Amino acid sequence: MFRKFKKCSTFKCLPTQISSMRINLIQFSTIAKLSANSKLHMVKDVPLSVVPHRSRIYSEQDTEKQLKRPWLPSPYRNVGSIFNKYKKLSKFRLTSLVVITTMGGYAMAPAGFDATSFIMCTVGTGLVSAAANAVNQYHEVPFDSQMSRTKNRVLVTGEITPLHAVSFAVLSATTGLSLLYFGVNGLTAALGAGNLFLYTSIYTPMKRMSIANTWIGSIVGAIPPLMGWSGCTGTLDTGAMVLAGILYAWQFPHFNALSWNLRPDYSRAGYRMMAVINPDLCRRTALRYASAICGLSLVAPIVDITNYWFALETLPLNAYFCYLAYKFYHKSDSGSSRKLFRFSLIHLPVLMLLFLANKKNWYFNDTKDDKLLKNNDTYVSISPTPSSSTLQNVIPVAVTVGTS
Amino acid sequence: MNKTVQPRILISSLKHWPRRYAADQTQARSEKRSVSVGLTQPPDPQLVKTDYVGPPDPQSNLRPYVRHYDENETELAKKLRLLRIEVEKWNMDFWTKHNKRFYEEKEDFIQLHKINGNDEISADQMSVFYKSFLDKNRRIHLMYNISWYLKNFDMLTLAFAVEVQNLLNRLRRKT
Repeated sequence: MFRKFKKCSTFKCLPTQISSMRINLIQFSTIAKLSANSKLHMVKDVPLSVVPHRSRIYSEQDTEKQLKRPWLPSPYRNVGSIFNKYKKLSKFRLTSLVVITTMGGYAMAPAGFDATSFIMCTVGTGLVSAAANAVNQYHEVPFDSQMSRTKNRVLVTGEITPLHAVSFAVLSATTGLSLLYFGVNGLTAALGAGNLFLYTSIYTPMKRMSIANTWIGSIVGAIPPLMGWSGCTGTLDTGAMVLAGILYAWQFPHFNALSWNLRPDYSRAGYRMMAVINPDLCRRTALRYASAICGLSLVAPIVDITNYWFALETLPLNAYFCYLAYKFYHKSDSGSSRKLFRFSLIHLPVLMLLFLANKKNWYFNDTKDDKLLKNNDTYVSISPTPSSSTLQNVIPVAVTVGTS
Repeated sequence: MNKTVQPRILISSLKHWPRRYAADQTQARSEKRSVSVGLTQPPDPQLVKTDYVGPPDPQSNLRPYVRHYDENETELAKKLRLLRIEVEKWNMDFWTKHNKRFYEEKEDFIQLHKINGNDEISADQMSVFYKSFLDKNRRIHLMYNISWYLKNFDMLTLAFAVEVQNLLNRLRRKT
């Protein structure tokens, strides 16, 4: 029996080859039994009793369907696409969003722009976030395979071994944290390590234990701008807290809208989310925190991180966000939740851009500008005050005194 | 004209590249793309060189694995293979039973609603079922979680040990 299949396995399985062995396939139709309808019951959540019992392959279509779902080698070493697999493992789009918020935090901080520490901060944060996501995927393989949204993840499909994924995470986390510690400062590295621990060891198990996981997850989302801010100035102050607060509040409408449509999947996989356990609370928090974003955006000019035009400019953006959250609160169906989720993905980058566009002081430049020096009659140029990068403490900076 | 023609021929003869004609280009590219090593049936573990992963099982939604082995398998590798087979079996067992329970209880809930006269069940009403299912299975999920994390970690450390062993053997064979 297997000698026949050996011939098939060494090169591509053409339909012409299989049709000659159709009889054998029909006899071994355990997988094919429900193959045509199994997809139906996984996606539409139809109970198994409704799926008709089929004991043989009826048509060419069934053999084709079986061919499309073959047994593949695991790990599937397709040399060209290992980078793509890492992108999927690290949830690249989510990591990019995290990196954007970090860059926003860095840019909003009231200190000079230092290209080296900026790059180290963003790359370091990106690597730490990638590591956290990889560990999360490693832990959740059987749960991800239950949900239609996540069943194509690389560890679920067996393209990468768990050891490979964890090695990637360890390497990525070490590199990221080293970049943050040696290239930026200790506070940023501590925040990064804390965030990594919070996400992998507290949020991931808590997803299956209580609905409080959403609050912890929101803290995880609020820390990257704090990392950016502390990467620039070395300290955290009220401005940083306002930025982090806005990001904390944003997580709620974003996640509640996302999880609203996945309630059957979450319930079957055993995740305890607000959308399943307490749908009323889910709707209320989405609306509550959307209005909190409005309020915090109005507070931003008061703590001196933006000018007063910011409050005016964000008003239409946040008002529409609140309107969608109110629609979701009132109607709570798949359409309104999808709209809220999609708008939240646009809302955050636009809000970050508005922050940058309305930043209060851009001339907090500690970098020595020759033009500026030449224009002044008497001047004392001093080294940049409490340098936020530890590298600068090593490299000596000249102190000059000049007169006209 | 001589200048442009001659270097081209020279380079290709130096590097032994086959002459590529425009008419053949598209054929070659499409052939390369469709090559895959898929099998339609689970292979025999002793005949294959690597592990194989199959399509998701319809009841448990987990993918079955075929773990290969041969005569040169070391003790550690055998331990790892048997552990993996055991964990995968335990996992598939749990999820098959769990999913069956879920669908049965969902059917019961829908039937109950139909008896009471409501034919259309809104999402909010289904939420009552989802919540009750989660609450009923809370302890089972917690126990499964702890067991799964421990087993997963065991597999990870054993896989790491096997990789280190393979690496050392390869280095020993080279020197």
